[in-house]
Amino acid sequence: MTGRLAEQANMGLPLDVPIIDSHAHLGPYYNFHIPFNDPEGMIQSMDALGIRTCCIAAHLGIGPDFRAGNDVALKAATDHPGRFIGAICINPNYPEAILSEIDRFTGVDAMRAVKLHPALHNYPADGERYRMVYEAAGKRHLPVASHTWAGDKRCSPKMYAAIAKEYPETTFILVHSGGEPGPIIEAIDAAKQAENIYLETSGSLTFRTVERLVTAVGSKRLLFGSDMPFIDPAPQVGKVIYAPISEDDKLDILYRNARRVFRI
Amino acid sequence: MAQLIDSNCMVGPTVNPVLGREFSAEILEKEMDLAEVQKAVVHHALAKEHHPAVGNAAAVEIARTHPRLLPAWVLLPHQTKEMEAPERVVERMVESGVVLAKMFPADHNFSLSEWSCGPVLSALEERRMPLMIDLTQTTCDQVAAICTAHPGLPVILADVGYRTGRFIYALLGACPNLRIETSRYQAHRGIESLCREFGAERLIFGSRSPDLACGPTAMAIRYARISKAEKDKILGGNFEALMRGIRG
Repeated sequence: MTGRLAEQANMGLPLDVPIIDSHAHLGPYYNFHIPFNDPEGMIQSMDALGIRTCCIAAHLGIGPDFRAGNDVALKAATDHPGRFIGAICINPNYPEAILSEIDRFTGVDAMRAVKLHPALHNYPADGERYRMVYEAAGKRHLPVASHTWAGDKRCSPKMYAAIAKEYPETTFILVHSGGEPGPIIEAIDAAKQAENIYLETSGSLTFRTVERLVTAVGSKRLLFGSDMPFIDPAPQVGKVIYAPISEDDKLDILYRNARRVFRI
Repeated sequence: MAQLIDSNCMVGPTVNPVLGREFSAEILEKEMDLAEVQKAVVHHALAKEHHPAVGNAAAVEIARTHPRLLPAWVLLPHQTKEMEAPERVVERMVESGVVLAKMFPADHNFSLSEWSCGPVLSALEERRMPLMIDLTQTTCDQVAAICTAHPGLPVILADVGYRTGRFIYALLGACPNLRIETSRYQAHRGIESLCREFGAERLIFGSRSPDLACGPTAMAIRYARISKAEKDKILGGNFEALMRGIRG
């Protein structure tokens, strides 16, 4: 049976739900060509699909200059209120700036999360410098979105169950849910062990995992993410709306849970 | 409205089933219905994971009993005599209603170079039988060499990841007979950008089922900022034109 959202998608219409994209970026990147990577180019993609709001971490922020990258994200969120909210990127290789960078955005409503990338920064998720972030973010009610990848000793999803239990006031978003279809069981296990873990759906390979995630942990613990503009958001939305789950579950994933997590 | 044709599917039992069970023709057809896809080109999993001689026959049989599915054959170089002489193989493909050839040189341990696959590539070229190759099974240099040596061969490059732009823009520019299968080219607004640069004629919709799926991969085209005529070409018209070009 074709659901309402799939019917709209088959016609290429904007979906009539206010989608919140919990994982996006912004700007050019050293490793490959990204067309239309500026805010305006992304908003055109968002409008076509019906994505209301994106939580963005600038590529510059996960890359060589996290402080300048955070300014890029803040400017986009300020220039386009309601369309973007920013995630504060922290690079643990600059330990003296970790807390000051989080403090720099105290009271800045446009910055609603913290973004960590243990793989790019080559620093383990359970390292001391990240623990400073988990504690500070929890106190400030900022969810921590961390890149995860199964098999990566710096950010395998199975590392996060113990971390999340150690910081129960902090909300953790396991970006990519481990990234690969088979080992997604690691992310499922982590989410089952710690209620403050959310699993995020983005990835170029995980096209048949949404049903499995819903069955295992329930739709209330899942967040739609696109990884735009690394990846085009249309197939990522499609992973949710063509999944064999209920329309109600799809709405949880596409925006209801994110409203709660990001206080939108 | 042009019919939607998914150019890249696999059915049958695999060593590691993505769904936890065999991806059958019936499951594929249900997913096609959900995404309003009319036809799909399928190779059989046994042709890839066991042996083409077995799997190719199975693909023809599945197509015979499922009229919406069109068979693709997996080919090897001819020297080991695991397949018939190239001209005869391609003749049998045409006789059997096969609409696409595929090769997996990395998994099947052979070279695509002329000293190995030249004869079979020439036989495909002679009949204008399209050839689909995964980029992850070869290199851009090898693809360029094939396209240059066989300018009449329609080559479709699949498994083209979202980070490959700096390769494939150059490749498409250098090789007029090359097309891109769209399923894994999930670059942001990548379909629109390739379309603007090279024309919709160079893009062929495929879902890469069962690893990926019809609905989500079709959305990349349905939501691209291109004209309806361009979408129709990518979603089916271009592959239909390739099928019409096969010389009987």
